Amino acid sequence: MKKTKKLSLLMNFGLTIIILTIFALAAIDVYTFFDTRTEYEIAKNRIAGISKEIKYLEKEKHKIYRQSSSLKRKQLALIEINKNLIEKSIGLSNENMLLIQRINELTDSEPYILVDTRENTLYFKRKGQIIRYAKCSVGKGGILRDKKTGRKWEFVTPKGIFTIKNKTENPLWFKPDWAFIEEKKEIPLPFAPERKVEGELGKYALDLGFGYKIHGTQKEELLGRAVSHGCIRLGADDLEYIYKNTKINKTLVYVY
Amino acid sequence: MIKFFKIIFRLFLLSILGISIFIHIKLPSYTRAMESEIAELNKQLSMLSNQKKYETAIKQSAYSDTEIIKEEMLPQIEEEKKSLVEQNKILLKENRLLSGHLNILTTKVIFDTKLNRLKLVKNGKIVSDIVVSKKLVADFLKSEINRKTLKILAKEKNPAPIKPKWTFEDITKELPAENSTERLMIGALGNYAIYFDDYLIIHDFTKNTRQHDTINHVCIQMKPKDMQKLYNSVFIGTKLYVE
Repeated sequence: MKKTKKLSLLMNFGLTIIILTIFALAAIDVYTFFDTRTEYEIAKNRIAGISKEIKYLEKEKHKIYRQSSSLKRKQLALIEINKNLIEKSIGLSNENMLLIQRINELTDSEPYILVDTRENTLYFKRKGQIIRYAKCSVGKGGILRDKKTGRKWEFVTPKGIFTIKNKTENPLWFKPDWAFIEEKKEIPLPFAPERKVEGELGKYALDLGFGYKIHGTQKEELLGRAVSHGCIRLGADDLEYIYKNTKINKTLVYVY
Repeated sequence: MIKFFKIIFRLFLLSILGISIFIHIKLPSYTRAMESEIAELNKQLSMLSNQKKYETAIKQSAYSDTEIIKEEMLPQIEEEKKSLVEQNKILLKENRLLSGHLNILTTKVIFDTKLNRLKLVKNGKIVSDIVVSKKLVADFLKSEINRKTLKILAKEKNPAPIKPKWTFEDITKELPAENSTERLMIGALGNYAIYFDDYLIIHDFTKNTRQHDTINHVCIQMKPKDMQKLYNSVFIGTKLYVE
């Protein structure tokens, strides 16, 4: 009886051990399963994340490509413009060379003065080459009317070829009638002393005939602008240079 | 009663045992399947990582290309364009001036006394052909001008010639000043006058013939429209050839 009870207890103990072992194994399996599942989820999420990043990168890449192709188009258009400009430039250079050649054929080797009335610039040139360049002031245009006599003056620098008829140091200015009308003063007799003005024309004057002169100015800050009454105004240094390097009846003055 | 509970407990233990056995048999195969899927996913992940690296590199390269165009090439070309435009401006300015210079040098007027015409020639081409009255041509030929080439000395808009002294009856009396209304003959030479050597003046028709005839000159008169055109086309120094 005692033996049977002992055997039964032993069996119960053995069974309990087996059950516990099976139970523990099942628990390990469940744990492993859930652990693997978590790992699986993580991997899936990472793939989703990386795919999203790749999509974003592709989108960005296409955006950059679009930007790049638009820039390349712009670049090509600019290259085309530059090509045309170069062609135009070559064409103009050639045309200018021919013009210089033609002008040289028609002029002698004496230096000459060329006045650009549009740009208010004076060039001292020889055989088409610029020896000196100066800002000047030419006629301002516009008409002045003398109500008393009905005379009209147009303040333009006439275009054409002039010769230097005379050169004067410390020239006097004989104020013409229009100067008095401008100042709203009574016009004096033609040879009245109040017509004589000293210093107004600068240190030198080169007479071009018919009242037109190349002379200095007291308002050098206005050089480069058309402000004169028809004469050609120059700055003191340029005037001195022109005065010393031109010859009476020999140096031609082209005004265009 | 205790016996009944014992039976219930044993049954419970048996069912747990059964479930555990079932789990132990089935679950590992699911876990293994999942593990192999994870291995697949890891492979995919590694491929995607490589793709990402590749895409990043491509994006970077495209970006740097774009930046090079934007930051270096375009500004350089723009700069070139600016300098070319400037250069062209200078050349155009030079061209305008040279053309003007040549225009002055190649402009001439031909007075054809046989066909009674005044032709304006620029750079070898007749640009204007003006009819002159036979009477004026005849007067010109009768005048003392015998030079075949004359030159423009001056041009004047709204000329106001001065009445000569001899027109005043009593010259012993003090004459009015040259700039007084009594001496100025506005309109006697029309609206435009071109002065040549030898007292030749080309001007437009004037109705003021009485004053006009007091001026010591030989003249070629023309319609105001023709005169205006001629006035604006010739230069000081332009030569007139009498043929």
